[in-house]
Amino acid sequence: MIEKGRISNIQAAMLAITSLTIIGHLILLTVVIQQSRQDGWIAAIIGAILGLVGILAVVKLAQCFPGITLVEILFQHFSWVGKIVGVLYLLYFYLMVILGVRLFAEAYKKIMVETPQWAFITIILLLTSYIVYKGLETLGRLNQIMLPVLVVIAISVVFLTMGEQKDYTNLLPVMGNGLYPVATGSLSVMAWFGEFVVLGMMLPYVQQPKKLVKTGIWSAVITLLFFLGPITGPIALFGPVEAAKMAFPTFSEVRYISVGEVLNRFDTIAILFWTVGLMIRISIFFYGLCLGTAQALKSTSYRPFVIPMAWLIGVGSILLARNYAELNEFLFQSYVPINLVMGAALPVLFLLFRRRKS
Amino acid sequence: MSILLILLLIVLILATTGFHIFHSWKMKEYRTFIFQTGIVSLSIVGGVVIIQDPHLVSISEWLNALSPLGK
Repeated sequence: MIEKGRISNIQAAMLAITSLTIIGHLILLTVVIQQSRQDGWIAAIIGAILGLVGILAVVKLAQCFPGITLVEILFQHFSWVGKIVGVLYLLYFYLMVILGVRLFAEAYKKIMVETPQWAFITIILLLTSYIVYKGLETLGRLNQIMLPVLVVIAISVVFLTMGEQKDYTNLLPVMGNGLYPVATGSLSVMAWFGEFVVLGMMLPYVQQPKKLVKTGIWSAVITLLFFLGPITGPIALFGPVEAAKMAFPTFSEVRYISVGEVLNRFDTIAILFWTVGLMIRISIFFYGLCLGTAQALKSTSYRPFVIPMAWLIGVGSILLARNYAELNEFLFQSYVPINLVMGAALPVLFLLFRRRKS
Repeated sequence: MSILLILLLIVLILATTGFHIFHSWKMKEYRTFIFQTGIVSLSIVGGVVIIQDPHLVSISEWLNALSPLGK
């Protein structure tokens, strides 16, 4: 076994929560608000229920083949089809890492306009390479320390923005535009939960694999709870039409906070939230990519791949899109179908195939 | 200027990854060695493309063209 470290079920759930929440705040929010407008919260709840399909499929697949990761399962038990899908999963992890790195650079570019993008990319890659090099236990423990801090900050932001400026009647009428916007929004949310598939690279290393179903469901429920605040907040504050036009709605919302005359620059807190969250998210996918590559090549360690991969990720994140408009187009057109296929359809398909075979 | 930048990129990539690649070769892990060399070569090619014209290639454009939701 390449990875010697072990993480607890809670640490695994926390990794999933951080990774999903941060990408939810950064990109999914814009997508869902544009698709479902004031019904975004309904889409989130339905999408989370649908997303459980992918989560449970990944968990069950991990339980069917104890002690081996998703890439190992595909390479060892599903002949040549599995090998092709295994390579596709590695490409998917690569795509998700470069997306995370690019989003980090884009988010920072909003505040530090004159700093070149490659400077942000270098910083995050140095940081995440070190985390990945240190292994799964380090990643799990780091996240265990950081997530509670982020939760406290997020809750304080929710309470501080509950002033008179918010008008929750903006969330009405419920399903005023019919069922179609809610349906498209819930598919996007379901796709977002498909990112849980990366945990397939870590689930063999949890201490209590029998309790993984519970862990998966709880992480989905908590992620949904963390998503409901950010999806209703910007709509209540700016209205559904204005919120749909924003690149980062939560960032705009946080900028409105002012507590007396002292605390009025809460946007730095949003940046802290994004930095830590994206650092964990990038590390998770980066780790999955390196470990998967090492397992596919039957290497003795994943560490020799970390630095070469970091270079490839840096280059890929710049080549991902020419500008933010193109990146946004990617999020609307490709992000959802890719995640639906990789995070829900394929795990379900392989699980059914396995059940039929046994 | 761009040639200097390309040379700097190659030197930086080789300086940071050289030890890992050499170690794989020394330990006779040839599969790892070949894959590492491939990754590094791809990074160099990508880096050169970025230095020459960062707007030449767009991965998202390729993926959007394949997407069923694409225009």
